[in-house]
Amino acid sequence: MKCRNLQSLIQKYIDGETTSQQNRFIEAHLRSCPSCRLELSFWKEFEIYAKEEKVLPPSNFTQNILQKLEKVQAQEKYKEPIFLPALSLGWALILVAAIITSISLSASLIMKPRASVVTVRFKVSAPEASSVSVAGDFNDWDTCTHRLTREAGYWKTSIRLKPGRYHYMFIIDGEEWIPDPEANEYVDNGYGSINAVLDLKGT
Amino acid sequence: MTASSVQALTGASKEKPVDDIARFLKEKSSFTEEQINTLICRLREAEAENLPVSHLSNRIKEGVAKKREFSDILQVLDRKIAQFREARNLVEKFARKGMIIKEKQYSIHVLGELLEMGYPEDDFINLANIAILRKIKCEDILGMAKLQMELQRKEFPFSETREIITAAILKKMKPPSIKSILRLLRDAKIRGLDIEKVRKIVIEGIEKNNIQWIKNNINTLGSK
Repeated sequence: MKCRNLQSLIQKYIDGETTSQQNRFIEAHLRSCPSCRLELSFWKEFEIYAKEEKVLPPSNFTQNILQKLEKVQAQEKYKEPIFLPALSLGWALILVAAIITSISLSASLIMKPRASVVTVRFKVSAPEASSVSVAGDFNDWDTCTHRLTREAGYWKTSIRLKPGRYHYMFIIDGEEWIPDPEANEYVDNGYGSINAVLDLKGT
Repeated sequence: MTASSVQALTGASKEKPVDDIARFLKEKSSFTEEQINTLICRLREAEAENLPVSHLSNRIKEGVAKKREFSDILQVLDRKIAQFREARNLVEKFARKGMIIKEKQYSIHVLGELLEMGYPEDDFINLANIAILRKIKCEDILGMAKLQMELQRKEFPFSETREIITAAILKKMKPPSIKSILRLLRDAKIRGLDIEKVRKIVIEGIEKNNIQWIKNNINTLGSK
């Protein structure tokens, strides 16, 4: 595999969307190419920024959209008068809400702000495992409530969480406890290993 | 998904952490009444001292889930309480000096864990003094400390990031910008440049508030 080929697949690889055959080629290339390792590390960090960034519309967003809609209404008046009643203030507000929703969903990538709860995606590579679950401060360390499903070489699940600081670990085949290798923070758990930490408060 | 797990997910349980752990231990552990009472007593003491009790109770739950002996769990609990006391003393000391703290329990929790993982107390003191000077929140400087920890894991010892982080905080830079700058330092390391010279360029560039200036000067250094 050449560097150029890897770069076209790098985003899919980070998102766990590459096939297991592609993963083998990518990982073999990464082992021998420091420049691509650097590239991968850059994009992984970029994903972390995206996870950390909370995108909020500017305070005058609604007002600006309404003003633009009024202009559109005025222009449309001469073209399609028949549709004018449909663009009432109520519809305009629904449209604004839809636009705001689509912005927050597309910009957050992983965390989807909805009130004070965020959706967090957990992902781990465990090709040999037959089951993977996640246990942590958010589910009383219950190893059964949140099982991950296998998708394109990765095990994944999404959990809705309130802002807070959570310790967690993955459990492979019901017995092997491992910390998330991609976490930003780790803490000694006192039980002979480290926990991954997810801080949804201090980002 | 059970109702109790939904509560745990959203943190919606109205039970106090101490009552919650009492119920949890009775349902999920094989500990004797006396052992349960010992753990609860520790939590009540921590609660009276305004330490992050819900985090402490999570460590108990973790121990039970991992099928640890009562003595192991008690040991972990005592160690965590001692760490949180140390963190609380530091946080309160700087609060008295005028540091802004929005969420005291959260700050104690994060600082306690940072110190436990080897974050130097002197570095926190340095950042806290800057926070007072520049009216920066405790939670924000803890974010920088976490960033320093993360970089330390990625082969940037504290000695290499300390000065840069300090300069960046004084310029009120945000963590993503600081990360971008530190990435330049890492690239320079990979290219085998003189790190001491690169660090000086980075600090001067932060002073000038000009990342492009830093990039250009590092490139010039690399072409020599």
